[in-house]
Amino acid sequence: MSAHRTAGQRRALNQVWNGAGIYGYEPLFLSMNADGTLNLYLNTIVGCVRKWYGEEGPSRLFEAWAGDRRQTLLDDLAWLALESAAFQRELPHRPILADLRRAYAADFFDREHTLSRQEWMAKNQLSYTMQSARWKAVLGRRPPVMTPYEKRLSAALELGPLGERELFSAILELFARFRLFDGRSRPPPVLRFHLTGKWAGVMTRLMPTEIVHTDVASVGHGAGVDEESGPRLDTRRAKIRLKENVSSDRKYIESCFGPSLLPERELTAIEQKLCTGIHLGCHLWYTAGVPTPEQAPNGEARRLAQQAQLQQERNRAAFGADSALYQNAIRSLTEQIQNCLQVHSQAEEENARYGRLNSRRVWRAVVLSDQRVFTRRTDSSRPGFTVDLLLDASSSRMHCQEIIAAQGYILAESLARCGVPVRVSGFCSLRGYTILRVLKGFGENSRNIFRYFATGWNRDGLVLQAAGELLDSPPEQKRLLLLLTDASPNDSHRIPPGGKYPFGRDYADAPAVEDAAREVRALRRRGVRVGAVFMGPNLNAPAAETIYGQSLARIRSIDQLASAAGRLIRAEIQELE
Amino acid sequence: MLSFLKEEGVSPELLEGLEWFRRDHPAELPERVPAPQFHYYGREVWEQAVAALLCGKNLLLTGGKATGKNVLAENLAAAFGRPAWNVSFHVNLDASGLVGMDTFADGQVQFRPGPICRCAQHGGFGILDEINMAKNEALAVLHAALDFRRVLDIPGYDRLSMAPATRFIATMNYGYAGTRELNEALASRFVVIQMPTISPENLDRLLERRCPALKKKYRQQFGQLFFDLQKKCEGGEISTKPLDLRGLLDALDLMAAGVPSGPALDMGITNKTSDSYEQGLIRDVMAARIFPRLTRGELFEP
Repeated sequence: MSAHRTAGQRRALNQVWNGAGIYGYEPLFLSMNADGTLNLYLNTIVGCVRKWYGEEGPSRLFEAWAGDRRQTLLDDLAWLALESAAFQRELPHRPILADLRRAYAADFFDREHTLSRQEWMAKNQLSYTMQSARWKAVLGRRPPVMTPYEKRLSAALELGPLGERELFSAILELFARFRLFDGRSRPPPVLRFHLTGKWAGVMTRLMPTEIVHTDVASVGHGAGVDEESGPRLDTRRAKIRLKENVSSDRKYIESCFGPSLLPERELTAIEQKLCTGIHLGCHLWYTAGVPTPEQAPNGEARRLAQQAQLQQERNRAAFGADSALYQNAIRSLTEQIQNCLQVHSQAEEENARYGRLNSRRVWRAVVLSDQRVFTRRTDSSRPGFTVDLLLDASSSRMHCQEIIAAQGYILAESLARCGVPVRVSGFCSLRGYTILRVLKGFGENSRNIFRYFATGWNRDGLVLQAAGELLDSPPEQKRLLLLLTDASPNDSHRIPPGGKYPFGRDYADAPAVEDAAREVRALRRRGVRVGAVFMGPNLNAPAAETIYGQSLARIRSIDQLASAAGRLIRAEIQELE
Repeated sequence: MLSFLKEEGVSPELLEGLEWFRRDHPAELPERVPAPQFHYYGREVWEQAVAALLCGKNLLLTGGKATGKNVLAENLAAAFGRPAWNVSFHVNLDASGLVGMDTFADGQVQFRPGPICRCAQHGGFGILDEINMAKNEALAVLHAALDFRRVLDIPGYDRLSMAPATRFIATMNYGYAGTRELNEALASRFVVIQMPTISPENLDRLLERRCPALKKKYRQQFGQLFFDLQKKCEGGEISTKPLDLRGLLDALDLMAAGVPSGPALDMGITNKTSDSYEQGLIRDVMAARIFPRLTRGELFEP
């Protein structure tokens, strides 16, 4: 799965791809300085290694000592050898490489002055000496003071323009000859720590975490999650919460998510209409946001509000850090949608000085000297449809909240620039309440999407029904509903006994998928076009197809959300014609 | 133009046919016969196109940006010595924009002929640029003009028969977001040439012809720069705006006039996009090919 990349990383990746002349592959290394600037020369060389020596050979080489306690040193030395070989092979085709190499060598020594004591200590002495010798030679300076062993190693690392077959064996033979690596990886001894209390809190922020659903609203910040394994369903904990005090749940939801958007009577009517069958006993909550910490009525709500505010700041900061990349995505998506809208726009007629003669207006030319007695066809730029984007805001999205917020912003802003009314909402379920948070209403500022955060469960069938109610009063007649989903509906509130399930059962797996699919079909019957962007494990792909059918775009990385949704929108625009 | 085609190695039979065509159809409206600034390089495409037009077919040139579709279309009109009408298709183009429309002049309704109508009268070459940008209903008016009937029926006026030398050359770019597929009825009225990307050898020839004083080592690097940008464009990392062969040639003109290489390339290529992130990616490609402070003296032979 391709990981999210910052604007700087993406640019470095482009430098590598440019050197390789091949796009889309994942390079072994990216070269960036500690201050975030890029090494054009080294990235070009990484690309040239791919160009001249393929993908498999270099990755096998680095895998040979992966996990070895001297891995960093071996990586550095191997790159020096590869740099020498790739430089010489590429130079005749790219003469500027010699200038870039000299500039990089000069920069290497310039940066020495800015290194801190810690950075110096972190450097491996042998690796540093070898690099220093290489770059001094490039600049035509005297080599550093070296031991005979180092002198021989430095000379040996100056490989000629070797072919693909000889290169890797030459490097392994060189490492063996200099007693650096004998072909057997020796991992360092493993240390295990068990942390509790504050330390556990700190480490969960820094280290990859596993997401466990509970029925307590909290805004977490996972550093990473294995998408294939997916979040784990812990209904045991949820049930414990459910038995505590059912009557206080509504107060809890209101205090955490803010007041309902709908008046009491209307909300009750909708609940009576929708919370039936397998959703019996469930509740709905339409809201426009989370109270500020000052407005929060109790300690628990205040904590959630503070966490939500922190997440909002994180979302904004993450967007700000890569705004160049995101603005580029907005421009590109706007252009595509705009173009599609123009091509498929509907014709309208207007009075003109030329065109098809309108006999009923001819008198105006004679009597009023009004030359506009013709009609001419022009295209209406009015898109004629609205988009509702529903973002899965359950705990399974906790590890990528900033990226989802940014992608939602890209999509909403692009559509807004094309004049398409767009509303963005997040959905989750908690203590039997299915909550639809309108992050950005029609006509509101797209930056409100940064209020997105993930918590709780997701009861997709009920969300689709609830969204259907919300769709009844959009500004345009044609409606498009897009969901970001992992096609894994699950909720702590069980399906009550009765009908197809005489003993009741968990709202998960096949029954939940069937329920969601049924609701998608119901919406389509009402004339709402429903599409989904699916991001989740392979295991859930058949469920996604069952629920959404053909109107489904699968993405491997959340970075692709906006472009995938854009593709769905373009397809829908063509259908709407 | 004919001497260029001989240099290109176009078959003598086709060149003979071309000369016959020119003899049979004496030049009309000489001010409308294109005098191309650039030549299209590629013998095979030339032979296919000339053969198709000699057979009385209409041509559809398909291909990505910077494959020379319009250059070839203009070159063909020049080679056949025919006046050309270039119509840029767009989403708002309707049938009246092609055939003509009524206007009010001197107190009466009069027909003002459009480019297709004039092309048909004078036996010209109609160059229909980006034909798939227009709506199908606008294109339906061309059906009878493009097939064996070779007539243009102007609603409310006469039926206009095409002059025998009339040909249509359409261009289109498949896959560009938002463009539509050409409908089957229209597509069947053309013979289609899938335009290949300019080869490195032909690009080198183009640069050599355009800038004969440019040193060979730099000429190769400028050529490679174009292909590097093309790959980046195909990889979806940049838009098609900076993939501009004319822009590269303009930049070389600027360098010959004394602008250093970096600013000249910015003016010709980088600044075609206003996106700063995209500009950064383009400048990286340039920096990995051309030193940005190269002067006229370094780039060109004295």
